[in-house]
Amino acid sequence: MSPTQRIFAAALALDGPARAAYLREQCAGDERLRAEVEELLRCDADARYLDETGLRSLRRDLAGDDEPLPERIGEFRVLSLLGRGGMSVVYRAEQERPRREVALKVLASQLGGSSGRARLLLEAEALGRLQHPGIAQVFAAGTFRSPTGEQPFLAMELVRGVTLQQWAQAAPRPLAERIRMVIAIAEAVSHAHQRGLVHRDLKPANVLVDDAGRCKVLDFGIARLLDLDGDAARQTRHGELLGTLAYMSPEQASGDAARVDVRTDVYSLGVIAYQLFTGALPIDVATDALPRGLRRIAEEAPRPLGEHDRALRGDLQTIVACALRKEPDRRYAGMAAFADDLRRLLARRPIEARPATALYVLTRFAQRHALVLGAALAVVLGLVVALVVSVQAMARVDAARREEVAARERSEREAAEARRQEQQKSEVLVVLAEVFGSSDPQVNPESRHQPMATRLRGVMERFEQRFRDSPATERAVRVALASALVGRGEYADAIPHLRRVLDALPPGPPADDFQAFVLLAKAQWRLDALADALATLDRLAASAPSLTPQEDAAVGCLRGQVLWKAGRRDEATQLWRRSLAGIEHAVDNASAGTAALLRSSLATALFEQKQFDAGAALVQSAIDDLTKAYGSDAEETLTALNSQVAMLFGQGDFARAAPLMEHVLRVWTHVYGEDHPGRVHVLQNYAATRLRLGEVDAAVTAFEQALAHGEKAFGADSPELSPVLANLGNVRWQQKRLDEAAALTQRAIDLRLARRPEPDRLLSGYYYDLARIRRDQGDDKAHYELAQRSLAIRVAALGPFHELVLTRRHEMARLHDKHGRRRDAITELRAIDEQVVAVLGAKHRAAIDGARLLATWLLDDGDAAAATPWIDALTARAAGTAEAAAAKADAERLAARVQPAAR
Amino acid sequence: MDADANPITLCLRRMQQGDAAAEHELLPLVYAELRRIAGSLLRDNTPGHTLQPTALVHEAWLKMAKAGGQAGEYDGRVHFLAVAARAMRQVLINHARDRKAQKRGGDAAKVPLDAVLESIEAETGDLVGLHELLERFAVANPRPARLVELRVFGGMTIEEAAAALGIGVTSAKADWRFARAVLQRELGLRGGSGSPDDDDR
Repeated sequence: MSPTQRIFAAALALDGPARAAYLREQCAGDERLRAEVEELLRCDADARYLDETGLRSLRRDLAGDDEPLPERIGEFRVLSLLGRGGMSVVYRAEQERPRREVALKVLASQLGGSSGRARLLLEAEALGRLQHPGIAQVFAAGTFRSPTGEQPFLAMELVRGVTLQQWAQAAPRPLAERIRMVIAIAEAVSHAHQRGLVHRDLKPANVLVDDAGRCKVLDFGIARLLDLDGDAARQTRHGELLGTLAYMSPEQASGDAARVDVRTDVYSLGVIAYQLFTGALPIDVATDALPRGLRRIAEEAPRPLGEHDRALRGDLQTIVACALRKEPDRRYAGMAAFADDLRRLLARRPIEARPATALYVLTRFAQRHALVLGAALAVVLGLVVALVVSVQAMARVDAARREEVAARERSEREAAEARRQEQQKSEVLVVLAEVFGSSDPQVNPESRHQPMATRLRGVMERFEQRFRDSPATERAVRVALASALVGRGEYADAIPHLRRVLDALPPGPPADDFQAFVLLAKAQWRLDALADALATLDRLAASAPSLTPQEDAAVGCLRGQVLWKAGRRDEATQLWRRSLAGIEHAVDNASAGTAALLRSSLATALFEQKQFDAGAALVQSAIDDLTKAYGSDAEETLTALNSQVAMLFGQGDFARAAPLMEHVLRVWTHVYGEDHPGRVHVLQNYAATRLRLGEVDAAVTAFEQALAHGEKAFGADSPELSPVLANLGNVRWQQKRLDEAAALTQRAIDLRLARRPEPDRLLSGYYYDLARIRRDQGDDKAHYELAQRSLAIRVAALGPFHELVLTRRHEMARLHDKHGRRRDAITELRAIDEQVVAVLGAKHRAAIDGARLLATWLLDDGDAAAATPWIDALTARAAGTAEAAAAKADAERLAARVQPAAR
Repeated sequence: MDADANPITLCLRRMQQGDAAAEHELLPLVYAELRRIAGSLLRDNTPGHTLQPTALVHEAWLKMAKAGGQAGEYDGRVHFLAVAARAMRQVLINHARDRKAQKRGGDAAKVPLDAVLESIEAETGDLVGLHELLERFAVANPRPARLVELRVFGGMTIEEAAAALGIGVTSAKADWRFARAVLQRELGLRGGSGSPDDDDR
């Protein structure tokens, strides 16, 4: 022990003159030593460093508290410790009357005497009046005597759940679900706001989510009770602020407690929303020292949402940015306004977060328009948005060029350029407003009955004059117009605009070109110019190397549709699968919509393979997502519903198919009018359901309508008409009106051969139909020849051993035999037998009949040795089937023929 | 898990049996454990009714005590806290220096350690300054310096610290008052001339 310490320790036990005397004696002559000890004693007397209160808090923080649980607090029996924060301890406790478990929060702060206690009770009473399913209720408040003095406590609803953060991380949550969660929190907090209570400390740890996904906001008004507004230093002292700083509003961060109001909560919820949507904090202060963190919150602008994920650009970004504005006056005025905008976003209506300029409303309108119309248009996602983007892209290119120019000149030119762009934008607007405003079928029902191109002519003339010197604007407007035309099904009129954009005008910004390519490919696809459509998509691939995954998938979807129509079914199916895999896990709306389109397309492939159950499941999930992404009356959704009808048909569920079909037809006609080309397919399916219900006349009428409509929409020589013609021919055949049937079916074949000769099941079917008609007309030779052609096409399309091929080949063997070609018949049956058993099963009619025919024919040839195994096969295969008895008799008869032949 | 398999528990037993070398072996183990807990705190970053970042030492003790079946053994806990205080001091000082050297780094344990640092500094002021001061002070006054370490970095009470140092509570109190007076003087916090909070600004 040093002399200093020894003298200091001894002096501590003395005071007054005794201490002075002791020091004089001990430090005899050593004035420096005496001065030192005296100073230390003064320090000890005025100990302000490492006082016991602070050390107690350190002890609790570092070493944990071994203090036993208090047995009772007020009227509550303490059951267990739920948690401990710097400012409070929370127990699970039981209330006697009413008997219930509560969360009991004991606040660490001391109350200033009786006035403090009165204020606590007053506040608690206000909190107790908050009754909302989204708010943890406060039951009671009071004080109790603890070892450290009179301590306040609050008894609150015990919530079982996970924190918002845990909820967000526990499972992938679709964006819409996360948005709805923010809305739910806003609603709960809004309830309190209406009663004049501000939360002041909203953060993910204060929002619990129960098993049913309902949110509960905790600790309402506690911050106020603890007088924490703006008292950053005090909170830090207890290590709490670091967790909450990020959610603190600028007015709180700058210690401006007087400015704290409902908009403070709006800000904090904005931070929560930002984190829910991006996984990141708008201003990440975790590694900052406190003063810097506070300053950043007060001053720094957060990164826009879209910089985290392109899919978050647009309205959601605007809404969150509005909640996060530094100045409370520029934020949402309250939680209701915040929640309303989020709801508008989900409903795809214009949001209010920014002044509703003409451009803005039109942007939203056009976005909706684009979403509602056309499968490939899903890619386009708002043509005016793209228009604005392209103008901006232009500005970027110009900016790069301008870098070389002197600074002053640059700023002058920038100003001029900005003026020019503004001018251009407003001019574009005028044209778009004229065109869209008058021609959207959902906005202006009149427009359904008048081709847009007709009304456009006048507008376009003006437009071409006006933009003679602005090729960029002309390009943008042409893309927008073409988009509307394609949406309305006026494909042929759209193509010249798109060609102009892609061929005649100088190359434009990538966004324009992408849309133009996609629209052109879609128009070509719809007009059956399949080779052209593929060439267009190839050009797109060559000129736009970097697409987003969603764009990529949308292009894949479209290319698949072209390939499918071209009869390249396997390629199409594979492409759809691949495209779907690319975006399956994306959460944005556009990707969800594209994924649903892909599933809807894949369902078609399953239908084709007669896998109706799997197809029905797939199309059902697609319908749900399409409804969410595009709306219930969008073409995509109706098309998927149409597929669902087909699936139900395949499953034999006509009772459900028929009313659904009527719904589709009604909505389709209502939204898209009588003239939209897509109505041909809807009418056709409608006719098929009528036919199946035995309403032959209604079916014929609908088929004839579809035919007339299709001739108008696609032209009298379009292969799009073939399915209608063939169906109608089939009805006529059933009505025994064979000449009409033959003419209709022959026309179906001719249209296909002229424009789309690729082999597929449909074309094979037309030949098969015609063969049957010829047979019934008594022309066996034509029947045989047409049946062979039908089979050849079917083999080319599906391969030699597809189940839909095997039965036809079996039939063909019988036909060969009938036409005197027994050898070919035997060869054919032998060629398919193994596959018939493998694919269709040994009990299948074709397997049993095949064995019977081979045994018979081989015996006819006198080849008993070869025939015997087939006789055995006949018995074995038929065993257990309805045919067993007949087959056994046949086998015995055949076996009897073997004996003499063997002898 | 077999209680004997926990190396921390083994070291503690040896310390209780008077094996001085055990303390040196224990230090790096506890150091690693604290850093590990700080890291896991960062991953499970859920405030509210969960572990406070500052409860690192407590958490380490509970974990170790559970593994070693020692919960409730007062001596074991005190010995552990004594080592933990030193480990904590190293962890925090290293962290504070890292933070000063590179304002922003990729340290996985950054956030919870920051919280501990802030929490302690709310009581002590600049911790690196205190650490250096303590090192100088310890040359002539090893026992009072150690007492400060136990209380500030280990959160021990004066009684626990006395037990850990094997001295009486009265001596410990005297040591404490001396150390505190010296520190207060060295930090320029003379009587009536301000508060540690002022030093913070």
